[in-house]
Amino acid sequence: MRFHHIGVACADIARELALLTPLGYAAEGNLFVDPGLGVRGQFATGSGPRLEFLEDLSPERAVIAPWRARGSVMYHQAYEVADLSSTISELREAGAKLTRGPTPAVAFGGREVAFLTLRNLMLVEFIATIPG
Amino acid sequence: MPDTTEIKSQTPDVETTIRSIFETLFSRSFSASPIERAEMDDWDSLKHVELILVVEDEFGVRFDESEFPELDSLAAFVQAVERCQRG
Repeated sequence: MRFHHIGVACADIARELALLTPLGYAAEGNLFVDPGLGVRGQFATGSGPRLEFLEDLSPERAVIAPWRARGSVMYHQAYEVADLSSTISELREAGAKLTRGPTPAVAFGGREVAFLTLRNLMLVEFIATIPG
Repeated sequence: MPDTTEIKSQTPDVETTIRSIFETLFSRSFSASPIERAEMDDWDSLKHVELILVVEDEFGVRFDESEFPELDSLAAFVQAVERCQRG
């Protein structure tokens, strides 16, 4: 398992990225749109961990808004894993809930991702290192 | 067969306990009214998972993820817990 990024819930990706420019952060790759996951996103790298800024594609499908409503800005952490299925099984065995996926993600060229909620409500994304 | 009448009367029923969980998580009283997700703007996806985890821990049960969409009311939670308890 290898750490990949921290997901940041926001309403305006450009504004959030600009706020972190003084910390050395800059866009990594292009803005992406993932209709399947209902989000628009932008990776950024800088002096800290890689960040993934995410905003809802539409207000009718609130994926990000519930986190923002609670003031949770950094709302998920993501790891790359070699075996997505066994990772999901291990986490579920420990009581985590599979809350999304596995599903192909635009951000990772169609590689599958899965979101699991730990019992402390921490959201963790796992990204398959190998295309499914 | 042992007489369990006294024990039952001292144990809050499932609905009362779950209603109390709802009141804690939503920070308000629901009195005796039905509680349905379709009627509540603040019952969002994150609150949904939180409800499930708290109810699971309270009753020592585990819901299958395929059931999650159906847990859209107080009554549905009560039925799901009672189903788990029956095994």
